[in-house]
Parts: sequence; structure tokens; C-alpha cells
Amino acid sequence: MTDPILEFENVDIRYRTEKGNDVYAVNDASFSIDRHDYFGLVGESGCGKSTIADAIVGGLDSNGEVTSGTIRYKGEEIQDYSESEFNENVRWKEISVIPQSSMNSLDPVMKLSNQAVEMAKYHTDLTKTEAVDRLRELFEVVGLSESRIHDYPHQFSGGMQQRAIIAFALYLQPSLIIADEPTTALDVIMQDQIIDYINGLKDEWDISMLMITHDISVVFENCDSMAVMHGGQVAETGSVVDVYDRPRHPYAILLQNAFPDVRFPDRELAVIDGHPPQLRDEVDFCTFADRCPWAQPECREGAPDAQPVAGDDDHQAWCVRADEMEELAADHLEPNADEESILEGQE
Amino acid sequence: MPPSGNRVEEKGIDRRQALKVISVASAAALAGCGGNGEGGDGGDDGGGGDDGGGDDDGGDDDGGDGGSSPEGLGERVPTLTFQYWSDQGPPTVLFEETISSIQSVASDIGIEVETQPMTTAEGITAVSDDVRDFHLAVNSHGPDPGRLDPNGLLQAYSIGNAGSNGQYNPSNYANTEYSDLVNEQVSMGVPDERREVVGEAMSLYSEDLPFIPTIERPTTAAINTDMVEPVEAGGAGLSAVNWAALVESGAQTTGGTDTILANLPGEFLTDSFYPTVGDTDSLGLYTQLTHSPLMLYDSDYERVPVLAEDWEVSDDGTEVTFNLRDATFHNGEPVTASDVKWTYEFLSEQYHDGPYQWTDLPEDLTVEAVDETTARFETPEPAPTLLTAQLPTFGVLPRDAYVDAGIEENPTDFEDPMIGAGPYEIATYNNQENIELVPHDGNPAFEVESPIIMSIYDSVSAVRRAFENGELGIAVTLTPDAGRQIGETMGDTAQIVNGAAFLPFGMMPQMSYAPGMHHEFRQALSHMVDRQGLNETYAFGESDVVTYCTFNSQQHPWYNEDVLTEAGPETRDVEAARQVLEDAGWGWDDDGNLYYPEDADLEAWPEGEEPNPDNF
Amino acid sequence: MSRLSYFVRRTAITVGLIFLVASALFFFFRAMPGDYSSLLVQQGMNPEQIERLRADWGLDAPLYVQYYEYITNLLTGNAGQSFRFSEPVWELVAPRILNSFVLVAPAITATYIVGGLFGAYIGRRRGSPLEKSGIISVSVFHSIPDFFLGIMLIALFSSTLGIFPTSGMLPPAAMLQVQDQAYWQRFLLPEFWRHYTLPFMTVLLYFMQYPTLIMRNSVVEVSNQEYLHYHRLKGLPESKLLRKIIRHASLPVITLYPISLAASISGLVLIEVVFNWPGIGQLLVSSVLARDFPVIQFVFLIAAVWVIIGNFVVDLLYGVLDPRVSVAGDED
Repeated sequence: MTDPILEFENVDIRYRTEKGNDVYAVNDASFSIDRHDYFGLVGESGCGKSTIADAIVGGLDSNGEVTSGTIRYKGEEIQDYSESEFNENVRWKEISVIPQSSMNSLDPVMKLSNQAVEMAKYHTDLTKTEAVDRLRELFEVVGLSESRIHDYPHQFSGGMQQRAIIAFALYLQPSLIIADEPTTALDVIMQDQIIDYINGLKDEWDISMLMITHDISVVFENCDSMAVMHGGQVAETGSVVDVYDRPRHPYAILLQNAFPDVRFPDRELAVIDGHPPQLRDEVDFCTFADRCPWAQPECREGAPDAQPVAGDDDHQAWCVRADEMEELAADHLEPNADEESILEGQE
Repeated sequence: MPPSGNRVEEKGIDRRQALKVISVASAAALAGCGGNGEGGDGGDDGGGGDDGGGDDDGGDDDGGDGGSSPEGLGERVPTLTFQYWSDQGPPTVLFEETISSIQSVASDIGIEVETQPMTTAEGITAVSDDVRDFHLAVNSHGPDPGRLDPNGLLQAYSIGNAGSNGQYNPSNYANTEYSDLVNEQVSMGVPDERREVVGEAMSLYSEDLPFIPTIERPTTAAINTDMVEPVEAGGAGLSAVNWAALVESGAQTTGGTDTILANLPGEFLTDSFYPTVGDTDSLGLYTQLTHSPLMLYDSDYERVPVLAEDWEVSDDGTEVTFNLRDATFHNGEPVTASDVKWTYEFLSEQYHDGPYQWTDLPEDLTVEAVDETTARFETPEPAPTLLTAQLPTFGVLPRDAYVDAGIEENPTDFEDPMIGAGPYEIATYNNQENIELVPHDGNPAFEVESPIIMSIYDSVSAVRRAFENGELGIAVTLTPDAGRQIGETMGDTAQIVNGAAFLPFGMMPQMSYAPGMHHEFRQALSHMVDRQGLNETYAFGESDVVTYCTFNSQQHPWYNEDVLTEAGPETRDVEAARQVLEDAGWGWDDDGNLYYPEDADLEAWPEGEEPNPDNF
Repeated sequence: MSRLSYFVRRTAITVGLIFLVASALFFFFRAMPGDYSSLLVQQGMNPEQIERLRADWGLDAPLYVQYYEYITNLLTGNAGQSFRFSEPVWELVAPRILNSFVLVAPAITATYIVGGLFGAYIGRRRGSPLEKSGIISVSVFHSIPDFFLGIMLIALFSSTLGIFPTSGMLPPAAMLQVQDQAYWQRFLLPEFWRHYTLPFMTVLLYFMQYPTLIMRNSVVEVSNQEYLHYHRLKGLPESKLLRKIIRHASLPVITLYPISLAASISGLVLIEVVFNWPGIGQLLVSSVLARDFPVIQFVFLIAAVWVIIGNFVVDLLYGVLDPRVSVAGDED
């Protein structure tokens, strides 16, 4: 294992509101991303995963704030950076973003080439021509026709805009790309193409990736390691293989069951009842407790600490009963005997 | 289509709608000053009147014919529509107050009253065409200088102008005997004899009550006595059309001010060449200040000699001989008999065969320059108004200067040298903006001291603010109310000059149909209007009530109370009004609604036609 | 559709519209009862004279003949002759339009600049007390009738404080002097600016509402756009972001600017009367009352043409400022 490129340590993020109903969006979050790692962050909408993405690049709304904990990028603490420090040290040269809504993220009144020139102007010494040439190369890389670099965004289809956004993300050869739900706005075929494409970057580019999604299967298929979030808390982190094979947080267990598994197309999908709590107060309990079939009073008496999963490197679950889970959730962990993976059949 | 396209279309719609709203609103705002369109079609009158009344009483008198009116009475008197001119500035306020004066006692007499504001142009057209959309017009006769002789208004009321022939008879008054007298007086050469015939015509007119006078038309002006010496004002006061009081007092500034700053109303300065001016208002300005005539009406409406020493009328009235005084035009040339000859022959010719609109000089007028200082006016027929209306209005022009300017080739479109022999010379003239006058010492009658600059002001309140702020030394054509306010705020530093124009305010009942055609009804209205009250509310008591029926004011040189009939009391007398109607057979139902007498005529002549002179 | 054919089509529509407006104005004013001769009747002109005058003016000809004359005259650049002034309409109207323009163009421009910046400022401070009081004050100024606002300013600055004069463009004597000189000469006189201040302020305060509120809403909307967040994440400095916000938010404000400019010419009527400003408004009011058709038609036509051309320019400008617009046009 190399040095982590990004580390979250006990990070709390809070949004202040005018009437004092602060939102405790992220609580005691810890995870780390290794260099060259593709890291998946998965959870329901509203669980805090996009807030984490914003916090990394200083993109929180003006009322959002990292109230405690540390965020380290390449060993440097960045959680208290000012806007200009983010601009100088982090944004785009080091960390770029593939935003959630690619459709509306490109400035509608600027030609794509000009948007590239603008990036180059603030972050590099490239001349205008060089900046445009660079975009031209990247258009080729992402599979767009070079001739269209002087087009306006509205002249592109959704998929093409997404590719342009990826080209922009790669533009300054950052060390880390945050892909926040990169495919939600696209149709299914396009989603696959884009995901494959992002996946393919791994081989050619020297980058790490933080891929944020609500689709756990995407993470399983494309990432090296991952974190599962629920209600502003990190539930479980570890390598994809570990979390897949030995999930130890009830939410991770149920979540796996809630997505279709290509290998078992006939399996009935599980439904996770209930909703995560409104995070209006200091969070000193497990936010999954109300939905958890195995909850105990203890779960509501304090926020859970990380429990290392025996036998695995860097595999942790934030559940007081993590040790017992293998037993308690046996039904969920073992596929029914009469089911047979279609993949196995083919092998 | 990409979603971004949708957004754009939405934006486009919003914007277009915004534009549409704005342009419609502005068009409406612009059009708003244009009056009220065609006015009602009058369709309501019938329905509200007879039918409504009929239903109430129908049960009792089932018998016979109409069946709906109380016994012995005719139809119910419809809701009375009062038309008035909505664009006359201060007079419009009086028109409205006059109508509410009637309205406040309408129920006592059993009638209902509604109003119909019209612009002057609309109103005149409607009366000229005898459209019968309204029963009364509450308007005024404009005090144009030519009307200091009664001929113009006498003619207006003659029968030939009544009915729907497009000619303006303010009441559609039809009286053949009166009209014959009017036609007779216009060519009577002996002043006393003419005065007698005019008196007979006025006597008939006064008896018939085609015009119900209310109060004298007040003129209000203010002088800032820190800037301009106070004036001695005659009965005419001081106004935009009558500057006599100022020139008679010498027009002196004071307190270190060197120029008299005055206002003019918006309709002034519409054309630099004054004999052709499109509105006679401006005539008063030029006649008294810049283009002196042989003689003119002074601030008491009396004729005084100006460029003439005196004049003599031949016995038959066809010749007038003027002896000229020593006078010079603004260009330094002396005023000679040949200038007089050229001026009035040219103006007469251009009036009868050319484009000049106002001079109204007799046809076939010849002027003989007997010598340098004697001019003799000759007409084939006696032309009495020459001396009382036209000559006091139009000044003498320097022949050479105007001929050189090309007036004979192109009578309306030449470079006007703007030269007269008045006490003031026009130094600068800007259409609809301002005029600068500087004293001229070649006028034999008036000696003035200070230059004057007059600027156009459209709003009375803007004039008042400018005056109170020391931006104007003289404010003319104020409302009586503005005069009172200036008096209150400025105290001794303002001289408020109150006067009266020579034509009063009043109402013009439309005599082509009922109820205005009935004398007793006109008489009743005359009893109903509160003249004293109008004087208090409109003129703050500074004007006078007019109780004798005439279109001339008590200041008018032809006012003669001996031939006139009293039209009504100073304050209203509702009982007298009811009595007049009752005596003539009118009556009321149980609810107090007024009905015509049984078999009363409802039209004097059919709508759309003209009165037959044999019947009136 | 190419840009050229778009331009050609828009030009054709614009010309057609102007023609329609010119025709509508002709018939609209002819439908009003009375003409200028009615006023002459009231002043005592006799019927024969009236007939002769109406013939001189062409008012006795059938309507279609009058219309034909009017349109052909317009096409040859002749706006006709005023009945009342016996002067070519153009000579009468031009100096007054200039006077109005001198007041309205800088005032409306200032309104849009000040209002736009103020709107942007309060839009960035959403929910602050400043925003609320700002919205209330511009709305109050717009809900007061414009002439009354003018009178209140006079009461305060002229009558009470005695700083500014109440009326006119210059003191009468100075006015007479500048009338012979080149127009711009008057701008050199301090007196001009003293007279200019109050009507200018009246227009400014009265029309502030549009740009302020539109800019505020627009800034709020633009600030929440994804592309701005993306610009921020890309590391653009704060000042650059602000410029982008203003650029995007200005679109609707810029759209309204020429229209407001044109519309305010009519709104100016009462302000001009209050301050006795010798502009087009005064002439228009008195001409409508006098039924001086050639003048009224021409002034209205100019106002309409101004709006139409303003609209046209905005449409073209919009295509430059927002490239998406031409696409919407393409799909028509």
C-alpha cells in the first residue's frame, strides 16, 4: 500500500440556517483513498456523500462548514483553506470534479474552447493556442470530434456534454478526480459507455478517483475500495472485495440485497424500510438504528466507533454489533442454496 | 431538442410578454390624453326614463293611451346629460362645479343628472352636428379680441347655424326674428342706430334664455413686487390675452431685476406671423405689446387711440378717416398712411381670397393715403365692426419690410421680419417655447421701461411653483385658487391682480329637443344654479355673479342691462324653479319624479335636420 | 437558417410592422371626433373660412385619398405640415425630441446602471435587511405617480432647501442665448445642470424599480445555477465569478433597456409638464387636444418605431449575448 492521497479523519460538516435549525450533514466521517485507487462512495441520496465531495474542493455552500476533524490531501490539512488557498493549491490542478449535472454545468454562453482557455489562464502558463490544442487532444481522448471544440454547450447532446466535462476534468492532469454521480442524467446505454470510459482511464492516466454514486453495483464493478454512508455517517469502509464478501454493517448488508445481482437475476430484491433521520441535532447515535433489524438500545446511546473486521486490512464497520453480524445476518449473506449463479453456469 | 432549448424559449416568452405589456401600457398612456372616444350612444336615455317610470304607476291608471304617467302628464323627463369640455384647464374646473351645483338639487326637482366630458374639438363637432347625445353643454365662449364687438357671437346664435348642418350654434338656438335683426345690424353705418338694433336682438335673446349665465370669467395674475413694480389694473385685470395693464403702467422692474420674466399658456406662440395665428388667443399678446393698431381696447375695455391721433366716421358709415401720430416701426422707419393702406388692404384681400384666417376685414375695403399722416378707409356698404372689432385687433405693418420679405408672393410661408410699431420689439422668438421683447421708444401711446421674456408653461401649478420660487416676476392665467395660495404664501411681496374677461361662463341648453327646447325648463335650470356659491368655491368671491341673460359680461363695452331679462337669482331658488315648471303644466309622480306636460313636444325639429325658419 | 436570412426576415417583419403602425395611427386618429377646425369654430371663424382651410389641409378629400397622400409623403420622408403651427412637422418635432432625449436617455441609462448594480448588490445579499428595504424603497418610488414624485422633489429641493429651480431647462435669458448656439453649448452652463437635476432624479427614482428588481431576481437565479458552482470548483477567482454572474443576470435587464427608453418617452409627458421641460410630451398633449393630426401621427409613429427598432436591436443583441437564442430561432 502506498501513502493515501486523501484522508478523512473524524470529519463533521454542518450547514447553518437562519432559524437555527442547523443540519448536521456529515458526522465523524473517516476514510482514506490511496494513490491510484478508484474509491467508491455509496449511499442513499441525502446521506452526505455529495457534501463530502464539496468539502474536499472547498465547494460547500456559504453556510456549510467543516466543524471538526481533518481532511488531508497528500498529507496537507485542507479543511480550513480559504477560497483563494483552494484555488491555488487544490482546485483543478490537483483535484478536478465531474459534477452531478453535466447538462447544466457548462456555461451556456461560452464556447467550450473558451472555457478551456479560461482554465488554462488561471492555472497554467499555456498560451491561448496551446490551451486550445490541449483541449483538442483531450477531445480525441474522450471520443469527441476535434472539430467541435469551438461549439457552444447547447450544440452538444447530453452524452457529448458529459464527455466534454470529462475532458475538462482531465485537462490539468489532476491527481484526483471526484466523479459525483457522473451518469445520473444519462440514459442507460450512455451510462455504461461513460462508466466504462472512466474505468478505462485507470490504465492510461496516473490518477485516483473518488466515485460517488447511489448504485452499489457500479462501485463493485469499477472500484478498488469503497465506503458506504448512511445518514451522515460512514457505515463501512474497506476494499471492494472485502465489503462485498464480508459486509459487517447491517446497512451494507441490506444494500447489497437491494440491488439486482447480474449473477442471480431471479432473486427477489430486498427493501430497506424506513427513512434516515433528519439530522437536526448533534448526532450521538447510530443513524441506521431505526431501520436496522438487529438494533439494540445500545445503538441509540452513542455514535458507534469503528470496528476493524478481523482478518481484513483496512476493513472497518461502524456498528457495535459488527462482530456478531456474520451470525445475525446469515440469511442475507448466504445466497439460497437452490439458486445458481448464471455466471457459474457459464464457467 | 436539448433541455437548454426549452429554457431559452421560456425566457423568450417572458421577455416578449414584458415588452407587450410595456408597449400596450405606453400606447394607452399616450392615447389617454386623447379624450374618450365616441362617447356613449345615448341608448340608455329612453330605457331609464319612460319605461321605468311606467312600471311603477301602471297599475292605477290602466285607462287609455300611454297609461304610464301620472294623470294629466306626459312622459317622464329623462336623465339629463351635461356635456362639458374637459381640456380647458381652469374653466373645466368651473364647468364641473356648475354641473354639481345643479346636481346637488336635482332630486328636489325630480330629475337625474349625468356628465359627459368631451374635448373641445369633440364637443364642438357634436353640437355642430346636433347629435342629441346630451341635453346641455356647459362650455364657454372664448374671450377673443374680436368679440369686444357683439357681432361674432350674435351671428353664432343665428338660426342658419342651428341643426345638424355642421355649423356651430352653441345652443342650437332657432329664432328667425332674432336672426333677422342680427343680419340687419352687421351693415348699419350709424353707430347709434346699430346699437339700437343690437339691443333689440339682445332683448329677444335674453328673453329666450338660450344661454344661462352663471358668473363672470375671472382672470387672475400675480406680480412679484420684489422684481416688478405693481400695476394699476383696470376691470380687465392682467392676463395672457390682455397685457394692457402692464404697458399702461410702464412695465418697470425693481430691486435690481433687469428683465420681467412672465409665463404664457401652452397654446401660445404657435406661429410667428400673427395675422395668421391659428388661435386668436395670441392676438391679444401681439396687439397690445408688439403690433400696435390705430386704436385698441385698454385695460377697462375702452377704445383708446394708439397710432392714430383721432378718427372721424362719415354720416353713412362707409368712410373712416384717421389722423396718424408720429410713430416709428421697430426698424426705425416712420409709420405712414401708405403703410396703413397696404396693411389693411392686404389683410382684407388675404382674408377673403387667401389663407388668412382671422382678420375678418370687410370685403372690398379700400384705404386711401390722403397724405403722409391721413388714411381714409372706405367700404361700399357700411362696415361697423371695422372700428369695434377688426381695427383694434390688428396692428399696422411696415409695408417695405414685409414686401421685401416676400409676403405678397407667399403669404403664409415667408421669413417673418416680426416688425410692428408696438411699445415692444420682438428680439427673439421660438415657436412654443419663448419670446423676448425689448422696449421700443417709437410708440406714441405707451412708454415702457424693461424687457420681457415670456416662456411657455403648460401647467398652472408649475407656474405657481416657479413664481413662488422667484423664477417668474409675473404669473398670468392662474386659477383663482392659485392666486389665493400665492397671496397666502408670499404675502406683501405678491400683488394679486384680479379681473374679469369680457365674456361670462354659463350653460348652453340644447334647444333642438326636449327638455332644453322648453323655455320654462331653461328658466328652472337658471333658478337651480347657485351663482353665489360658484363665485365662492371657484373664484373665492373675487368674481361676480351674472343674473341677466347675455353672452357679454358686465365689463363688455356693449353690455346694456336695460334691454336684458333677468335670468335668475344670485343664490338658487328651488321653489321658484318648481313653480315655473308647475305653471307650465309639468308635474311629479308620488316619488317626486318630473314629468313633461301632457302632449308636450319632444323635439323642436326632427333629428338630423335643420330648423325651418318659417316655424321659429 | 443562416444568420443572414434570419436578419433579413427580421428586417422585413420590422418594416412591415412600422407600416402597419403608421396605417393604424392614421385611421385611429381620424376616428376621433372633431378636427383642428373645430377649435377655430369655437374661436369664431366663419364657415366659409373653415371650409377653405379644411380644403387646404386636405381634410375634405375622401379618407383613402388622405391615406394615400400620408403614406406616400412618409415614404418620401415628408411628415407633413402642422395645422396649428403652419410649419413642417419635422422642424417642429425634432428639437423637442432632442430635448426629451437629452433628459430621458441619460436618466434611463443611469437608472439601468444604478438600478442594475443595486439589484445585483442586494441579490448577492439575499435575505438581508438591506435587500428588504431596497425592494421596498424602489417599489414605493414607482407606486407614487411620477408627477407627484416630481412635485415632492420640488417641494423639498426648491421650495424648502432652495437648491434647485422648479422649471425649465435654463433661466429664460440663458435659454434665449443658447437657442442660437450649437445644442451642446448648453451643457457647458452650470445653470443647465441645476435645472437638469430634479427632472433627472425624478425619472431615475421613478424607473429604478424595473432594473433593480429584475437584476436582483436574475442574480439570485443565476447564483444558483450549476455552471456557476462548476466555475467555482474549477478554481476561478471570486471577482471573475462575480463578473460572470453579472453577465448572465444582465440579459433580461439589457432586454428591457431599449424598451424602457422608448416607453419612458410617453411616461415622461407628466414629468415634463411638472418641470416645464420643453420636450415632446408637452407638444404631444397640446397637439392631441387641438387635433393637429400630422403632429400627433408623427410623434406616435416615432414612439412606435422606437419601440419596434429597440425590440429588433435587442433581438439581434440577444443572439450575441446568449448563443442559445439563435438556436430557438432556427427551430421555428
